Amino acid sequence: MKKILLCCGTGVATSTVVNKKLEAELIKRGHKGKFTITQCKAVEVPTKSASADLCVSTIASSYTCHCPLIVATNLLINRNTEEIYDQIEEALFGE
Amino acid sequence: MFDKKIALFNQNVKNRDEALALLANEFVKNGVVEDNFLDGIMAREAVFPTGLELNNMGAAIPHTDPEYVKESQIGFMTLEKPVIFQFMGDISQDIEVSVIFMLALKEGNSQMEMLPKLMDLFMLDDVMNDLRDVKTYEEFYEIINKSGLVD
Repeated sequence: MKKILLCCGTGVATSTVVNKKLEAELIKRGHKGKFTITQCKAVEVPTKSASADLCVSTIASSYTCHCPLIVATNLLINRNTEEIYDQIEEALFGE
Repeated sequence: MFDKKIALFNQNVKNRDEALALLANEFVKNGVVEDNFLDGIMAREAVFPTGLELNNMGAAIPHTDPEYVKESQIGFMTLEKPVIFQFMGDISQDIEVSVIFMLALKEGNSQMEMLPKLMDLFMLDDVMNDLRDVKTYEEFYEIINKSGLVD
């Protein structure tokens, strides 16, 4: 089970938007049941990232992250999403 | 989340901070946020900015932690001339913003359905052009209602 940490500034706004989209896309790509998504706020990343496989963030990375990090702001507005989803998929399930 | 009718159209402001102060003050006047809501908005914007580059304009979604919020509400503002915000995904990138949706959000499920619809709206170029040009609350309401943002 891959643990995705989904982070935004407050943990209640933009990460909520991306949560549903990311979940749907990973299921569409055949990864159903192979991942969990936990939302958090940016200030929690330094501690929570230690036990995560990947951190996906809607905001710029001015914080310490102990796992691979992908800034995915454009997922919010569905701009250039394929490239971002490919990166996320590769980071989680790539060889 | 629009029931307080917080909306300011075609405002003439010098910069981002003035725009944020003007709009945040409407939230305070309506009693939906704590008196220091603007402090929260400014602190957040300085560290984690909220500008987004759309196809045909820049938009921003300033918001802050739930502890500043009494009741979830969304405020809208258009600017006569764009002001500079920074990109949410990269603080070194400037964005000329003409449309602002300020979000006062409590924790919970109220935003789960509305926020994704708002983000989808940002990519509809015609709708965003119309939103930027609205002059009255009635025109604004018609657009957001048609877009499914009003529950």
